[in-house]
Amino acid sequence: MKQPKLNTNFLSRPSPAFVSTLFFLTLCLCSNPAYSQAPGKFTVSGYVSDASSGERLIGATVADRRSGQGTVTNTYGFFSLTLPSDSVLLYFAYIGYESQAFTSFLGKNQTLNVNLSASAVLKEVEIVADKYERIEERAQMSRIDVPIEQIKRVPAILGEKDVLKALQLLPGVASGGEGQAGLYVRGGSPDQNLILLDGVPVYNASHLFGFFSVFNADAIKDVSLTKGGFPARYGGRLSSVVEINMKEGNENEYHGEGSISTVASKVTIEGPLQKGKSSFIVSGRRTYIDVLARPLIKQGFKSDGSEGVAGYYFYDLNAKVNHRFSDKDRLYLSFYTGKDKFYIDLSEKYDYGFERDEYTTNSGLGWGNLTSALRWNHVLSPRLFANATLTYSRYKFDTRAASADKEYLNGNLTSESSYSLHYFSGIDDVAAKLDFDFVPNPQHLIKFGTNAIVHTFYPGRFETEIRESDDNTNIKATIGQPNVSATEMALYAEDDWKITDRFRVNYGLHLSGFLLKDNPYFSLQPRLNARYMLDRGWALKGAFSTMRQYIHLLTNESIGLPTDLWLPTTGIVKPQDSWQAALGVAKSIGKEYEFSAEVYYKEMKNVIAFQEGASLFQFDDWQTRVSQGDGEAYGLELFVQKKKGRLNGWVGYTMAWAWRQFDDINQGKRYPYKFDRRHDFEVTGSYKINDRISVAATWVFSTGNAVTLGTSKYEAPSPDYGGYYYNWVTTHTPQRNNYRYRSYNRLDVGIDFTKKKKYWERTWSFGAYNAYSRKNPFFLTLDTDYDYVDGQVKETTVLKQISLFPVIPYVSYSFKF
Amino acid sequence: MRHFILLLLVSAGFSSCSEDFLSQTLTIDPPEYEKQFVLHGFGSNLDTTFKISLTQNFGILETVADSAWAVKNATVEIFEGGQKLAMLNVAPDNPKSYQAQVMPGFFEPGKTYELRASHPDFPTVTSRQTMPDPVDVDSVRFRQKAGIDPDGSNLSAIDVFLNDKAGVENFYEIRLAILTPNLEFNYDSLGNVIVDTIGYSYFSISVTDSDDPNAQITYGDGIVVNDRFFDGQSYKFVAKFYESYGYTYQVFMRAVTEEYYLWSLSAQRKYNADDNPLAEPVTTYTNLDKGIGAFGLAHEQRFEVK
Repeated sequence: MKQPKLNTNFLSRPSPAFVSTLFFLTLCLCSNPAYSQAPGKFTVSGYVSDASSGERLIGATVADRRSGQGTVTNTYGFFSLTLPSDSVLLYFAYIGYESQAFTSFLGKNQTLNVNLSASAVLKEVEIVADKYERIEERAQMSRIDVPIEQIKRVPAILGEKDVLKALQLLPGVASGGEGQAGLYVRGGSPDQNLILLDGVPVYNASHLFGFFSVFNADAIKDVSLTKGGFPARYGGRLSSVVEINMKEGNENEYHGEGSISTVASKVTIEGPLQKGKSSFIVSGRRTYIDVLARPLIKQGFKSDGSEGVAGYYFYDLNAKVNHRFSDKDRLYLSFYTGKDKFYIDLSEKYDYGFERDEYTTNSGLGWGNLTSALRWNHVLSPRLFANATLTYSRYKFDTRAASADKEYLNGNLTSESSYSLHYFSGIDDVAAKLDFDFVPNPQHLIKFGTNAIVHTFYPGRFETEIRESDDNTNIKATIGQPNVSATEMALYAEDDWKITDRFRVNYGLHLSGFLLKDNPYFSLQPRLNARYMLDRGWALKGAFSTMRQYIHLLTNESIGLPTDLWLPTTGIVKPQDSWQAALGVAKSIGKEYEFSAEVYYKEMKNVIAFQEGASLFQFDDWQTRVSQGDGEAYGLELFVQKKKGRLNGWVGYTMAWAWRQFDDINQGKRYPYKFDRRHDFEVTGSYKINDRISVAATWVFSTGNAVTLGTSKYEAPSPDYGGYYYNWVTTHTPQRNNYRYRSYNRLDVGIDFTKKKKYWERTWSFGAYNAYSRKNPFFLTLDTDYDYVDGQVKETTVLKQISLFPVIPYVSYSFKF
Repeated sequence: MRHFILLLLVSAGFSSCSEDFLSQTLTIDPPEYEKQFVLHGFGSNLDTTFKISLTQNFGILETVADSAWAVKNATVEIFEGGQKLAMLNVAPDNPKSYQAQVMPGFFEPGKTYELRASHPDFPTVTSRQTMPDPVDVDSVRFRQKAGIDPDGSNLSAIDVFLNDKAGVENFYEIRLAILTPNLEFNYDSLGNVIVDTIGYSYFSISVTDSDDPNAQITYGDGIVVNDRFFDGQSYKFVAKFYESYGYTYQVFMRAVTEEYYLWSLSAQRKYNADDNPLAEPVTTYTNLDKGIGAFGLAHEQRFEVK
């Protein structure tokens, strides 16, 4: 681990001069004559939308065929193109849509809003439209866009299409384990991923201990993963940014879709509020195993002589409205809430004639996220686009247990007692953001902005109450850590600069700060992506980025427990830092395939881990239970993606190494990270046989996780005065994560039968998760087998691997209108 | 096509019904391991018998009789400056222990000792330790009321006032015991009971806490602290325990080696974590080359307080 390391200390506490660097840079960029509108040039700007739904099209191509200059639309469908005053032939294209061309003489600044229609011819054969800029065109590397239609075709456990599970199939991304929704990107840990839903962080993206993610695919418009080469606009996490944008809603017609599967049902409705101006979308999902099983559970309790219910459910609700006030102003309000809940309510009555006892218990375990965002798009000038955002985000874990006992004599209450326990933890964020896109000319796209987040951490607190009427006991006690507030802020500026036709760079600076009482931290993070076009359409790309993370996650990495604790940087626990460099090539092969190959190297400082022997369920100061150390990751990633055609999907391969080193873990020696996987291979694809039938399959293979397993056992003596006591046999583990699970592999298959009816369309989906019932490792345990030999019981200790899922078939019914 | 798919689904359904197909456990081979000595040797300046524990490891699935842990016919020697000081032999009362009779002060401050154990069936283990200097103790006192623990139980404390030597990393341990008289009951000629004290016994007390957050409980119920936050300064080392009074307390104030400090803390963490499936794994510290366990030395002073 003691590799030569980049000294980034000079970046960690910039002087006030550094603080103003970004402003200066931005001012320089904006006032530079190269970026001002030259005489004789004018700007054409506007939005590109889907003609039928009004949804803005992200990444649509806008080009002037005469001058050869062009651009693409931003996240809000906005474009700006400055051209010489001349006759222009503007061409608007978006694969899967019919292109449009406009000719005019550009004698002044012009606004042009274009609606593109889905191509009728293409629609017959297209499964997924390629919405995005060609891979070799953009300077940025280590970013993968996955069309939501492609995600929805990946076979999933119990038929629940899952965004995060699909991202786990990408190169450079490891899943935590069987059925887990966690992302481990390029040797990073799950807290190092910034998961944004409409720009708002989602802190716990899992339902049911990680078996499902919180994102309802029916409400999602767009998904992208950035795992390196971070542009300056991103910050706050070390390893990845997952951007998930919700649909805006059809502003012309009402539409709906929904599905019923073996575990959950969901429905989505969208339509205009004011035709052509405003729209809405509402999408909900809920599991119903608790409802279906309730009669059985009630009967079960009844047979035990008690009354009660128990169950589990989760739900998600997404909603979004938007309104276009003018060509220059548009307002979006989006909202998400989701919750998991386990509950058990039980009552028992015992009647002994003149004496009667009543006993009740109510317990619940709940956790969930709430996010909301208010966004205002404003076109300040044809070349300057602004987006202002206010957000609120909350993650809360809450568990309650209460019991009460009442005793009656001859109908009169004689004794009463009650006990209650309440534990809660979580995090609240209130944030404001201001982002600008400035397009001075076709060679430059400058993004700059600022944001501030006020975090409130709830690090875990117990409240107990005990009441007993017999002795007038009334005790209330609170144990735990106090709430902590901290402010995180950032300034950034980046420029995407086409220096020549072959050479293009995206460079920028990200300044972040974290204010917590007397412990302010600042960090200046340079970012660079560069692309050089080689011959025959190959692009050579390189990237360098530094990142800083101020908030930490204390979690059990084996199971996606909802007890995850988000905690701040403090005077003792330092912020996490990283730097990453990557080099690669990219090329579009024909019109349908994209290929990329990348090598990367990443170093992380102050990564966080529990100390040896520490456990999540301790109530002392969390800072005394954690260690901070170094991480190192490097590897090779290969990726081929086909986004359109009857057959579409991708193939990914990763060869990677990931290490950790802490002073007080593993005797200070470097050890492999739990999710260090030498080989990770995944292939997923769907094939549309005809308009009615399509099939899909996914196969994954990866090296087993590294786990700590005792290799031998010994008697551990306790030194005593003048001797040794032997009262404990324990295991010897030569080093942390010394043992490898056997390799993981799995095949998922699915088939869809679609039928178009007069007013709607229905699809029956059948499939199986883990189709050949591979026994993939979940955990290991020592067990005892009993054999009968000659009438004698013979005990044998054995090492057993426990797996979670055998083959799990699924069926679901979905509809669209 | 429909019939084919139906056939496929029915086949999958039938095959998934077999017990083996759905079974979610798999017996796997245990990890390979190397046969090694398990040596724990902790000496002090007060020793008149230097004892070590010498046993062996076994595979995690093996059934081991109590007597099988012992290692017979090992050669165990202790050296200083390249010269053999003593050979340790199997203790007559315990086959898992090897010992040698030594004079008090056998381990001298500043001198480096090498412990070596060999046997044809095991890799030879060696380990070196330098005897620490004695603790510069100002005074020792007992406090009956020293706060309460999180459960609300009253605590007493022993406070040791010491002066830390600057410029070197020191490690201090306090262990506590109650000194109780061994009584003999006799009758005089008139039939009266006569109580005679014929000696004293130690009964260990578990230290539970300290005022210093950097102090930690050791394997063996003591408490240790290193001097990184009070290097070269006077320091009050507090060892708290469940309230008791009316006894004579024996305070074992020890300057211990860093290796003992690391081993005793990791062994305690391992002990606490072994029955907790949610606890992070612990790798127990060792300073033995090719072995399991530790060789540690302590310079010990004993104080009696009431």
